Amino acid sequence: MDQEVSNLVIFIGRFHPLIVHLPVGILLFAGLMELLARVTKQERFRILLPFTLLTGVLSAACACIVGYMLSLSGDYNGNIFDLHFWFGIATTVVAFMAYLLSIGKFQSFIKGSVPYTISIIAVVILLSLTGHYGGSLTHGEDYLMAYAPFSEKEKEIDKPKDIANSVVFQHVVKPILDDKCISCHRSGKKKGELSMQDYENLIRGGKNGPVILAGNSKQSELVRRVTIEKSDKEFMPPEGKTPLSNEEIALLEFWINTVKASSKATISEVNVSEEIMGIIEERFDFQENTNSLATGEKVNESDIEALILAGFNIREMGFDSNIYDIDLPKRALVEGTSNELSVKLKLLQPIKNNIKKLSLDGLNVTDDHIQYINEFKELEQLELDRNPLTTTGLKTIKGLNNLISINLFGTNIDSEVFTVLNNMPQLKHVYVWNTKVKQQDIDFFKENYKDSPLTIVLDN
Amino acid sequence: MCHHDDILRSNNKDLQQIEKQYDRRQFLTKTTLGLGAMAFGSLLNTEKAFGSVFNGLDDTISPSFIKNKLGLPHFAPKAKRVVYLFQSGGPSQMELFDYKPKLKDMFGQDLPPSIRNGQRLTGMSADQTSFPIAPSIIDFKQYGESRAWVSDAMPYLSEVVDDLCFIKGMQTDAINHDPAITFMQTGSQLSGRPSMGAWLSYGLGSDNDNLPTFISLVSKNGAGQPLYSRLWGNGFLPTEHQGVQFRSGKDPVLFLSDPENYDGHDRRQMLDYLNKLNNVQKDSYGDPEIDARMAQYEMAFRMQTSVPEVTDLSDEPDDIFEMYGPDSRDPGTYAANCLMARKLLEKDVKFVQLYHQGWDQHLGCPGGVKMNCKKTDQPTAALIKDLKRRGMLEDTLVIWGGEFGRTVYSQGKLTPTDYGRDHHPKAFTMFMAGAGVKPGYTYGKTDDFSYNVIENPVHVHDFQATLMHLFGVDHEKFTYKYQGRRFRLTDVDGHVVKDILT
Repeated sequence: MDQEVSNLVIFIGRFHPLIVHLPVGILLFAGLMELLARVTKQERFRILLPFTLLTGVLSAACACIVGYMLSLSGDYNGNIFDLHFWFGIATTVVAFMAYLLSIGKFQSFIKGSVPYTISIIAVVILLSLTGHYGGSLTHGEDYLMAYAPFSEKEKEIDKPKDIANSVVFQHVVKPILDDKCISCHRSGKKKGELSMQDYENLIRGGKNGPVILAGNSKQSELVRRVTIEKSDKEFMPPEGKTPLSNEEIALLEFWINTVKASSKATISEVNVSEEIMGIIEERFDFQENTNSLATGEKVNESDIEALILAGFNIREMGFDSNIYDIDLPKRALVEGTSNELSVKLKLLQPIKNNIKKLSLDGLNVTDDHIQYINEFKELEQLELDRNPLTTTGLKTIKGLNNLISINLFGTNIDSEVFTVLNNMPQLKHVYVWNTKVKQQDIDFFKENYKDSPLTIVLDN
Repeated sequence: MCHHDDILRSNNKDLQQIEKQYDRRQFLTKTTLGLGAMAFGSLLNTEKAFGSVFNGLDDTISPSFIKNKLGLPHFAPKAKRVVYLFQSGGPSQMELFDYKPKLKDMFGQDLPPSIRNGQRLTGMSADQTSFPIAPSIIDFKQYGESRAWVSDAMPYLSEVVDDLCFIKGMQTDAINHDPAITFMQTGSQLSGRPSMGAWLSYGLGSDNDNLPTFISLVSKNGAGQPLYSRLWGNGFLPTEHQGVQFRSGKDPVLFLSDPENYDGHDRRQMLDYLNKLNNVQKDSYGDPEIDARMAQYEMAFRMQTSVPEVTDLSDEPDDIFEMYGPDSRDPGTYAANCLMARKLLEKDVKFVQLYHQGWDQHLGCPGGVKMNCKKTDQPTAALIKDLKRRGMLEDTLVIWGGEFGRTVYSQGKLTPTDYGRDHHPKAFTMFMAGAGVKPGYTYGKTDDFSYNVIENPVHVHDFQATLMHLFGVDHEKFTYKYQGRRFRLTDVDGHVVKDILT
């Protein structure tokens, strides 16, 4: 807006959000009355319709005028604003026509009640659209659908692979602005003519000029506004919204002072104090926790049920992750025969790529049973302790390429097992207490394979 | 509500009679519950979501896989079970792990006011005219590849330092025993909140339906500050999540054995009928405590066989008793409890909590510390070794610690051989071992007086947040709504201490 608008106009304009509720309620109620009259086929429900419509039209006209006054503040513009503006006027006009129809103004050339009903339907539709666009202006376009059950999950913003490569503006500063500022400062609702939707707009500043002075946070309006006394009317965000935390302010200052408000600089390119690094790490970690749950292939519920019926204990490692920690308690083996165990172990086959931890301790697992767990390529922890297993059985282990830990305590393995296990790419922890393995075997192995990653635990 | 009653009336004449006999209390209960019937409905369903609730089927069917309705765990857990060796009374960090050699030259000097910095003291030493510095008379040495300092009072623990993660900058808010222990265990200084074990039981359920998810063991003949069962209580969580105390002696769990002249042959039948009656009651009143009661009857029934099995230490070979120390043959001692803890952990009990009283050395600090170490050092170290060689440290978390630390200045008279120490909340040492924490690692640092934390402080809520994290739980998201507010273990605070995680 070129010329200054008087404060009184904006003051009255701000009653727009209050007044709009009158036509919304009244006109919807008119629609409801008409519906009732149609459904029950009773004319008496239409008696108050003209009055209701007239009240609706008058209040809608008020809302339009006051709304126009609000728009003069210059805080609103863009596509959605235009739609809201014109749909609001259209609603008022069509409602007025509906009123004229309801009192029979056009009786001479329009016959029957159909046009009248159509006009009321049109009012309701226009009203809904106007209301929706108005809501989008106030709360932001994604406000309505953000938590809808059927809406698509948040778009993956380009997340940096690690902290060093993350761009300070994009990954550290932008999320703060998105969280705390953008609901009022964006295209469509530029409060104070300031948009923080992207870097260019932020640097351009608002109606009082730039809000960021690179290298000098103290002189930057943005920082001043979020750090002055909360009671000050210039304090941002305004009352009722969550203020910036001390950490967030520290990050903004860091970006302005140290990063010189650059849009491209990455963390590795600038000098980051320990304190700031701590804050950044914490913020990144929080995102990691909430988003990065490793998940496995989909499993059939019937396969899981079969395992439960067979007596397996099944824990899902992360809700809905399809990754499982499974053990077979001894009491699940009724007969205790080798064949019974084989039958049960075969049940694991359908979900073999979903098992991360498997515990088969004290079940009389023999060398022959190894074949049933041979191809569990996702397995990281395997407990085979207290079983009559020998090195021969373990020689047939293959494909457990992700195994990190294997528990063999109380088995019949001997020192030969090390050369077998040494070939497993990820394996780190081996437990061999109470077997034929002696301390000198371990020393001997360590001597010969100096860079073996295996930690062999006997008894300390 | 009314519909339920109608069904009851048409089906059951006796109940119909009872239903008619409203008294004032019933009337009030009914009318208020009537309004909340829908809310209760959803509540009851939630209760059923957790593993520890019986299913009445034969026990080869594991109920531990019913989809967790709380959406837990939030991410893959590192820890499956935990044993928390609580050293009640406030063990002196300066006599055990926090080595302060510079104090030797300051013997008897007054604690500089800049260090105390106006801190409010307890009534027990606030009146002292001076605060003479009391260096530890117990010597320290470095051990293991991690070169950790451990005092001579802990010769056994010094052998396993490479498995331990010391947290030297622990801080709490409370300065007296009961609020401090309550704070440590429940996240609030006031009683009434669920303890950590109850939270985990509620959130993650049981891994062994024949034993409670949360078991506490208290060393017998404990002197000093009392411990209350609310420390392992369920607070506002459903009652079946409270810790069950195992005692020493003939009845490890009270009221579990059959009364005289009854062999229990028809108990199953009796329980089945009792369940039917309770279910009728539940349908009518919708009180979730009825579920809890039924679950506990069933649990007690299964525990009649499982508890004698697990508490029987006669199968343990002699070298195990030697390893845990001579006390381990004496049921109810800390040593015997450590051994019992290992057996319970092997049975996948999720939370085993030991309490050992007697660490409150206001007087005779060096002697008191040595005496407690004599009782606890060997078994603690043995438990860690035993868990390690069985491969159980992979997913079992061991926690050692008290409710606060002790002051560098002497409470009462300081002599070259004796001194006392008062409570000190601003700095103390804890250690952890196993599942997901860095072995052979020390985190945090105190000043030369072991008075203030100068590097990496860990608040009680941070510790609790980290514990939850190790179990795959985001402490900020795991809440329970009670009296109109969502509660969590860490209240409105707590940061996961990422630096100590593997």
